[in-house]
Amino acid sequence: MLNSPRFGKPFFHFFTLEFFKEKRKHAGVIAISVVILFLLSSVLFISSSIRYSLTQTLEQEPDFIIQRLQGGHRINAPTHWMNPLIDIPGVTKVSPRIYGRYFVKPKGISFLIIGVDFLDEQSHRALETLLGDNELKNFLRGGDQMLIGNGVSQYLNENFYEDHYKFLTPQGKFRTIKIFKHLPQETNLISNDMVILPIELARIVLGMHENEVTDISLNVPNEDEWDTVSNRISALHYDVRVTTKQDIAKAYKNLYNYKGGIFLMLFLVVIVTFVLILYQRYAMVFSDQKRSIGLLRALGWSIQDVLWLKFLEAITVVSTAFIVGTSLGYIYVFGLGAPLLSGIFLGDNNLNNAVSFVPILELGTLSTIFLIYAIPFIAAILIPVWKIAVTDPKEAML
Amino acid sequence: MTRSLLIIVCLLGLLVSAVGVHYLSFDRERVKKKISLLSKTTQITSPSFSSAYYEPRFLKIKAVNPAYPEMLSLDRKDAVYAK
Repeated sequence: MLNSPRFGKPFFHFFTLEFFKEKRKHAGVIAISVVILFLLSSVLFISSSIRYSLTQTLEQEPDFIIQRLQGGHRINAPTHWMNPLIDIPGVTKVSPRIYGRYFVKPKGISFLIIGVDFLDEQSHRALETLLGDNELKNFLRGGDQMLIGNGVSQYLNENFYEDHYKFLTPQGKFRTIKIFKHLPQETNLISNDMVILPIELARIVLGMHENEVTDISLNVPNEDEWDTVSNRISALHYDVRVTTKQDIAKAYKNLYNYKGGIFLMLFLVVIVTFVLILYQRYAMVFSDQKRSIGLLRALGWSIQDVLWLKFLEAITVVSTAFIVGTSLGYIYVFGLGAPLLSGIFLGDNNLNNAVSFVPILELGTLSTIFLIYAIPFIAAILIPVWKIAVTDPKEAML
Repeated sequence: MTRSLLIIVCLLGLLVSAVGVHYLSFDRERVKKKISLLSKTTQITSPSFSSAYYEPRFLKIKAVNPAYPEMLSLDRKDAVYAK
């Protein structure tokens, strides 16, 4: 097979001449393909990166979150709810969570205030590793201090709060809190709008009483006991909502799933439109191509040879567009942080979020995109060529 | 013309190599460790949505319009996340 003229140097030379003869046409098609593939690959890179990062954090998610509801809305839970939870067999750790949104202006910019109990060993150790041993000691000894995310930091700098901020509590009093340190930029995905305070200070800022918590988290190491524990917790109170880690895991698994719903619809519409445009474009140069194919047939080229030549042209265009499109998408997402597109996934109504996406390439997805793009593309080119190639050369050259 | 094609192939190869080198040399463990430590501290793992006041800040929480709480809301993120 390798001795066939199709693999010879003259054939390859002829192919390059043919290819560059129509370089403007090919450049136009490559340009359109690059734009489509750039957008598609950027969206997929962002979604796979976010999904990867969030799946990593899932290990730290509490097994159960217990919330109190009133009229279908979440309200603060009383701290005395924690005692009966500790008594449930299988439950190892029960801890309160204090968090809430602090609006700088009503209906305006907001921060996520999180109260952390630094006496809790797990939190203490984790923060010690994150900040460094001495830094944590300085933080705890320094009075009213906070750790802030990069989005919060940027906002405060723009508004001339360089080393402190005055929080207005619901009691109408101001509380000045110094900025101790910024959270690492690598954590922007979850910490961009965070303000971490000691738990009692967070209560003051959010206006919560001592006997209130936002919700309660607990862990049950044995997964087989989860259903039993969930039922027992639900039976304790009439106004309780129990969210399990499994619910969160399912949400993350299907996050930004391009196979579902709106994504699939848009994807199919784009591909079909693209194929139609291509087919029209290649069918338009009918007369020129008809003559050249007729000439090749008259010179003794078989139909397979003609199709092979056009296939090579098509695969060159496809591969070039795919490589350039996906590479540009990669640079845009993982090099520049996807400046406009990230707003679709993470929102842009509050603080700016300069997320550093972790490069994740799902080869299965990329291969699927290539095949879905390449096969209709090649078909759109080869079908008109085949129609001409099977006609009599004399008729084709007319 | 063969030379032109070879130049294009070399440039594409360079592009792919640059992407490959960046991908392989990226320190994922460092990022994973920091995010995990922060999640362990705060017990919050939801992405930091840049939400308006009427939109949910956390994943999986339905948006409620504070002016019309009984109205069925179309959360913008419903169009992004598959269910």
